[in-house]
Amino acid sequence: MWSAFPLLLVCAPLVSMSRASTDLSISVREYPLSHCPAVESPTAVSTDWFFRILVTSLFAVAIWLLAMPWVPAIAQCTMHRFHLRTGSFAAWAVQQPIPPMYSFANTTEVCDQLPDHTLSSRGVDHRGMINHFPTRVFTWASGRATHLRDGASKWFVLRSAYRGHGVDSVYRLDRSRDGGWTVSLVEGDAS
Amino acid sequence: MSSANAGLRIAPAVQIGSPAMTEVNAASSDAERQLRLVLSGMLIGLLWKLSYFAGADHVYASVPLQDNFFPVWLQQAASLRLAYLTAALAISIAWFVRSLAVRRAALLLSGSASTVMLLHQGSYNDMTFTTLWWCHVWALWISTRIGTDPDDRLHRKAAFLSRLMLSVVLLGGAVGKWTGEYWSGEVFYEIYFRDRDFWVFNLLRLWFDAETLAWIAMAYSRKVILVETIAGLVLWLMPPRWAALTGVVIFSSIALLSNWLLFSVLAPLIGLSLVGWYVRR
Repeated sequence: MWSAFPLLLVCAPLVSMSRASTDLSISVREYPLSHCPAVESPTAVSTDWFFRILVTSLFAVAIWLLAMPWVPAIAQCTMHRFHLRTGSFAAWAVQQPIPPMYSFANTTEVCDQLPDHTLSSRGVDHRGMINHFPTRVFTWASGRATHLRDGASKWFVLRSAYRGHGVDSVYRLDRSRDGGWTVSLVEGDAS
Repeated sequence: MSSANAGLRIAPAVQIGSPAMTEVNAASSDAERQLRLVLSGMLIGLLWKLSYFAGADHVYASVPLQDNFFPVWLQQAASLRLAYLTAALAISIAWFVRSLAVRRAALLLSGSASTVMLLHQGSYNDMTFTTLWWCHVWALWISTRIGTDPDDRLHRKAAFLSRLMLSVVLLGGAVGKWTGEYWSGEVFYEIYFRDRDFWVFNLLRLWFDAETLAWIAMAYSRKVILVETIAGLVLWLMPPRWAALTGVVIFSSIALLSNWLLFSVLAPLIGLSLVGWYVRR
């Protein structure tokens, strides 16, 4: 049953686009002139390529999402997206429209000491689970205001887990001379 | 020809694509109403957390982060501020204007601003800008077809596209929860049930002990997974009005039962859901 869904999703855009095209062609041929004031030509409706591209893109996104539980590379790709560790910003940006609300088991730890080689945290100021994008614990306004107000360097240990796979990241934030903060990826691990 | 024209109500000297035709049709069409509904949802979503965003703007300006991952201009508080204000203004203009060309330009501008907010260091994680972006895409599309497509076909296509987008959004939320930590209720327990200050969870903590609370969290979590999964898979196939009702109920209940602030994410989706209500048959 589950294997039929990808097939359905591949065929669905073809069906929906042909149906939309059929609807339009019917409306052009048979649409009563009395209901369409001042239509001078039955070819007035132009081909809606924007619609076709959108429908195809949406089905592509749906297939990507539905494949994630069974294709570890997709899950890893999305977890790396959550940790801001995608290979390039452009590759990360392309994924951003893909809806990821409340995805994965994401945990965050904020430490005032360097975690050891097992990523076990020491000096943990804050520990918790988060809905998505665990990096927001230091990029989002509330995170910055909460964790960076004392001016001391901080380590952020982030974990995302999904169906036996996981991504771990350790970020270090240091106060810079100009008053800002420098973000460094100290360690990154994927399993 | 003469029989075909019998009963024809012809606006004087009106031709396809002429300003007179586009303005007359645009003013009264269902597609026009659908667009305004979605724009309303987008504006509500954008302004729902206005006070929070104003405070965030101050934090971003006073606590800047330098991160090699983001382009420099997408780390600056000023670019985010400009994008936010541009989006709010341009959506408002698109709502009020009658001129199709001005509306398309306004939506193009607000869509660009929305893309900036989707990618900015200070806002990439907020799903407000993800749902806003998808609504922008829908709004931009329909704005290119109003005045071009026959209205009775256009508003059906619009409703279909909205259902498809909503299905994908729900699917995106569902698939990420197909994991043991959500099925056991652990994640929702930690995020909401343990200590979130919201009327639902405050009452539950008052009435039940920790063990029962954990069981309720598991039931709550499984309910969310099932609802999002089923709706994500079938919403796009449903009759338009049923899909409209289902979407409004699902998205409203998420915010009402977990977090008022989520209306910033969900108001655009509620507007997009209501698009289907205009399809009468």
